[in-house]
Amino acid sequence: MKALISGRVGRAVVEDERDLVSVVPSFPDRLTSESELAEFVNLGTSLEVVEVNSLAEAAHATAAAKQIEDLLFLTLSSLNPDLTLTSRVACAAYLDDVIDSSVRMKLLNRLLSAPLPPNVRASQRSLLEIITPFPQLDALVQEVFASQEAVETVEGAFAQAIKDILPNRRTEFKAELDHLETYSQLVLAINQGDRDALNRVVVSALFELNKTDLAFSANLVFSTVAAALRRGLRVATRPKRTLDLFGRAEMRGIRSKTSTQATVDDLLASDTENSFSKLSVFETKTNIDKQLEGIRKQILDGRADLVTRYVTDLVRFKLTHSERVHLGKSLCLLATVSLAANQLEMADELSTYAYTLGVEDPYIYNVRAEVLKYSGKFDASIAAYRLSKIKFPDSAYAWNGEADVLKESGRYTEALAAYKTIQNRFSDNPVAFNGYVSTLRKMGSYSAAAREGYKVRSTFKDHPVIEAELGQCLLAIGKPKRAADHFRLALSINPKDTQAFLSLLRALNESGEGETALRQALKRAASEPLNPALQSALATQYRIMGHLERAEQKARELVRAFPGYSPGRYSLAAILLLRGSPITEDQALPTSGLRSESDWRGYRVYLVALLKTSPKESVGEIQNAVKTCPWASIRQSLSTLLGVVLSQNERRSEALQVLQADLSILGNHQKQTRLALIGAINLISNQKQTGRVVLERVMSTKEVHLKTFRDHVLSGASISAPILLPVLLAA
Amino acid sequence: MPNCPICDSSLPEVSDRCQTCQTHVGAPNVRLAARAEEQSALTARFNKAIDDAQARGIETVVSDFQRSVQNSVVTVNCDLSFLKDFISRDTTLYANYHQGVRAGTRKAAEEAFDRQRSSVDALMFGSMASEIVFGALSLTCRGLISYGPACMQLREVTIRERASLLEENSYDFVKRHGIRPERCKPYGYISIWSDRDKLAVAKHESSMTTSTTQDDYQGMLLFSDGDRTRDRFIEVHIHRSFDHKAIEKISCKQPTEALGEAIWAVVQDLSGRLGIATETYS
Repeated sequence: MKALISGRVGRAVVEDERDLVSVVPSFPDRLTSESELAEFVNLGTSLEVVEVNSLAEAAHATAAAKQIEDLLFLTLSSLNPDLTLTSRVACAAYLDDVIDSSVRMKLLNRLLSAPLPPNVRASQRSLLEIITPFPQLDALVQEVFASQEAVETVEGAFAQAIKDILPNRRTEFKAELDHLETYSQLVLAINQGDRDALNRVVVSALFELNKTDLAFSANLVFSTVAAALRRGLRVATRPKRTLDLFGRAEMRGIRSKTSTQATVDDLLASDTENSFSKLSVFETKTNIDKQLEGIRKQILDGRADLVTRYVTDLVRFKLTHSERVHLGKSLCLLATVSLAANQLEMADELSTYAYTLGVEDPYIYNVRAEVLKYSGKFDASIAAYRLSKIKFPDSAYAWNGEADVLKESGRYTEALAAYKTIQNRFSDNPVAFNGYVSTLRKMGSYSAAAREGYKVRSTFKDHPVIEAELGQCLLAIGKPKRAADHFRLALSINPKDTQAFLSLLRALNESGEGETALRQALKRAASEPLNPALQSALATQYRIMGHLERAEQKARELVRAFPGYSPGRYSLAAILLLRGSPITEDQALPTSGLRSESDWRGYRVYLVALLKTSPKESVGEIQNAVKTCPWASIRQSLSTLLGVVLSQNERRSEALQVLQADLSILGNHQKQTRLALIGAINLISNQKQTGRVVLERVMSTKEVHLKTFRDHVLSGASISAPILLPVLLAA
Repeated sequence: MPNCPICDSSLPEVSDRCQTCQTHVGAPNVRLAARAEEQSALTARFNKAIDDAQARGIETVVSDFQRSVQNSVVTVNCDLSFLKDFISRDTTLYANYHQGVRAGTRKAAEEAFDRQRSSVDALMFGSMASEIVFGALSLTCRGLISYGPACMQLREVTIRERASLLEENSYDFVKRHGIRPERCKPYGYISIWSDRDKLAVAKHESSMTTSTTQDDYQGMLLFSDGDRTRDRFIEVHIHRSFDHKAIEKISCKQPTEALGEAIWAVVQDLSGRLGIATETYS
């Protein structure tokens, strides 16, 4: 019997003796309706003709064809930026469950049969973000993107040959090749640099085509194409060097296994549940703690090679003496240590290992999402948190995590709604209440945030995070002294809270108590020599106080002691910038793509340096940074920088537009800077009345921190100094 | 046979254009349903139903049912795989088998056309059969789930001038009335769009009682439990096809499998972008 199968319609029409039978995947059904055939004929874009022995066989073949059509649709939908995150995640989650090696090959055959549209390729980075938490799908799509050059090579070679040899039967010939999956197999052969595979595909295609009346021409076409592709094979396998600021290439590099990483994978794969331990629980724990501490040290030292080796040892030990779930948690713990050190590649790798263990544990899922958030992959992080919410609906961490990402990416209204939902669901969990306050603050609703903060404080007493958030609100309003009190309170409850301590230093500086801040910084740095954030804070404090030489010395010590701690490098770069020393890309740019908030801060230093050396050339780069930076707070600061550089390039009306754009939501300190800049630009542009009014408003502010601000500008330490300095001096 | 209002040539029954001056004269299925013989026969059946209702004391119920049907809609059901393709491509038309063949879409299916296309459509529509698309009349966005869980409700403005209605499934109708090539169809069982309430009353009055309430109307007008042989409905014949812009609303039974859930989620997104309302029911 001959079956005409359309995967797209999910139906086959089979000639069964004299009857015509419509077959669907689940059951063969006598053809009774016009609409069945209507769908079949009009929508079956490609009908496959298959010889079958029974209706059941036709149904089976139809089911397989339909599955691939549906999966193809879902794959493309998961990458479609016009769709909502919810449906893209639904597609990706389903695909990740069903993609095995056979499905993967079939999808690749379809996805590699033609080049991706240029707009899709241009948006590669953002399109891929969403699927990062889904390893099977991610690997498939990465391969499709990585194969685009080979797809073009194959298509180009055939197009030229067919045009020369078979100009009138182009469509027919291409349809045959599509059917034989020749294109995709050639692409894979080229990508793998496998000459033998390439030859096998050509021979096999010719064998099939020899059964058709295209045989003679096909031989000619293939001899031309094969020669071109073999040349292409040499080109494609040559290594290339390109600058990849956003680190996709590096990410791919991480995924392609080194020998040691392969060992970890092999260990995980070969693990059986029958492992046997001769150690006691206590001995096991002690041993593991030692290993973790050793790895932590290597992470801070930036020794990726040693980390991988030690992790391999840890995996081996854990698989023998512990359970997989504990291994997963240990890997996640190390991932969070890596995050603290801004070692995002390492964090990514460790959390991926934990994730692929297949252990259903909320901590593992949430850490994976956290790593994605730190990497600035907000959509992917939201997707990962949502997956965690689905799997572990009682995990408040997942719910709060999603809301936090919405907040960090500047989607404030959605964040507020999310926090409200969590407050109702987990009424005794203070995180969502605090998150709500923090979102209001980031939106620029400082008074409302402070009011809400005090309300939350009355419900959740003695909570360090709430005290610290209240401090942030008061800082934003411009009340640094009161803010400092809250930070002190937070530290009295949790003396180890580094973030609260750093905020306290800022509040002291803004209160004009720089010397107190310096004393505190010195004391903490001395008491915790292994905490790089505190050492960095001391260097920063020296810089703020104008002790640039000591600042540089401290920053250099920091970089030497913690070579893997990139914020240390950024801190040094900022000091060198103020000292007028040249900054190299190595000092201010991350080694593997701009991702974390800290990386972007470093990049901002680099942009300021660029602005000073080549103000004209820096405009485009700063504009691009404003456009692409995922972190809302850094975007605001970059906008200020853009205003400065536009003004320096005599593009003052554009500068004013940029500086005024998000003025209402800025914190007090940054708002004063912006206003001062706006006033100064107006004065320079002969809009004297407006300029004077704005500047008077800034200068008449009673807050103590303004003095610091003015001193800061007058010392030349501010990036705004070139514009503000003459104006402030005149004022 | 009526004449063309422009050139006075006699009009062919099965074409929407005057063959002489090519003036558009309306969908041929609607012109057939609007013939005096059909209309008077339908009116007679309707009047008889009203008389019966009065005699049985249920005229209020029947007239309430009639008012409901005046707001009825056309539904077309399909499976989610079909729907995702249909609404994700601007160029796709919902077409019946004949249109596909005539457009030369698939040579292979011509055999299917020759073998299967023997009776019902030819008896019902003659040579315009190739231009008729089928739907079902419904009070809400719920259709014949035996054709798929997704229901497309069409915008009235896109079909009212080209839709006619038949009291039941055309296959059942041909069988019930013993229609053969030499034996004409009985009059009074088809209607134009604006008379669909009369057709519905003529069909259902006998099954209504004093205890019939509004909650029962939808079940009377359309019943589908997934088994096509048990489907009961008023068939809508639409002249020529439509694209996704003709859809007003889509409903779907909550998919129970992950694949269906994912596709339905995407369909809802795509529909939202096209301004099509969606509804999920359990």
